[in-house]
Amino acid sequence: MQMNDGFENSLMLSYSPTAKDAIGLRTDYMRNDDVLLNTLTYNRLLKRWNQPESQGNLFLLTGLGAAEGNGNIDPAATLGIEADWETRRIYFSYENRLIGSSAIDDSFSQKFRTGFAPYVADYDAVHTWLMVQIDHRPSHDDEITVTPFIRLFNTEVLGELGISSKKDVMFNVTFQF
Amino acid sequence: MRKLFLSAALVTGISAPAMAETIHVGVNGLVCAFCVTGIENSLKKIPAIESVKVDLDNKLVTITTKPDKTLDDKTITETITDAGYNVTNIHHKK
Repeated sequence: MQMNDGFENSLMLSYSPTAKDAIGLRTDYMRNDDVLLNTLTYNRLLKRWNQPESQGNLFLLTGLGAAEGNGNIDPAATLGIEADWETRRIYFSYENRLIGSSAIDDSFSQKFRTGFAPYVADYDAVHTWLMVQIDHRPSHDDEITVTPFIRLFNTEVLGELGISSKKDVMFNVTFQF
Repeated sequence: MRKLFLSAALVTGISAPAMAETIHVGVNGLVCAFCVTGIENSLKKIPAIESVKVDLDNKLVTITTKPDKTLDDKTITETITDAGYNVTNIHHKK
């Protein structure tokens, strides 16, 4: 998975040995702090609610690694929660992330996403979602950023493209094998 | 003797073809095509399965077995549960 927005550029490689566990490597370049954060990640599905017309999930997100910036390398740890609920028409998610490292001022962030599908697509078709992401970063002067974006996916690739209220381009792509 | 061979060949030729089984599985949580591929990939690892089709509209996973192969409900339920979904019902059709 690759994610790029006004705050950071991220690259994630993850492997799921079970439906509940994912281990991976994540690299974030945090533009505000000029810091490169490299972590070994472990994410756990804590709870899933499967209903006939919907699914909800609660994930624990963790990471351990190092933050490199200003000529120093400091140990770093990350902790977060992600919750989502979706039908084939509407989507909501909330995610937060706390970074423990002396190299990073931008230590807490959270984002909320919602969207809708203008049409209901079959399993093998291209799915289109019109969405908005609201980022909250308390350490920034301008704490709130709003990013409308379009999400397109099929069974193998998911892409997102948007422009934020600060005129930054958001581009995310996820491949699954 | 030639008649006997001919008869044997005819009997073999007209014997019933090996039957595959079609299994319809009702599943809860089938909402996101990008996520549901986990079910398809898990089921396709089972040697007895020829094909898997996901129908989001009807919340159904249709499994076709290889000829003369069958699949028990326990294996289907365990595989789909391990993929993170809930089985609601299973119907077998020869």
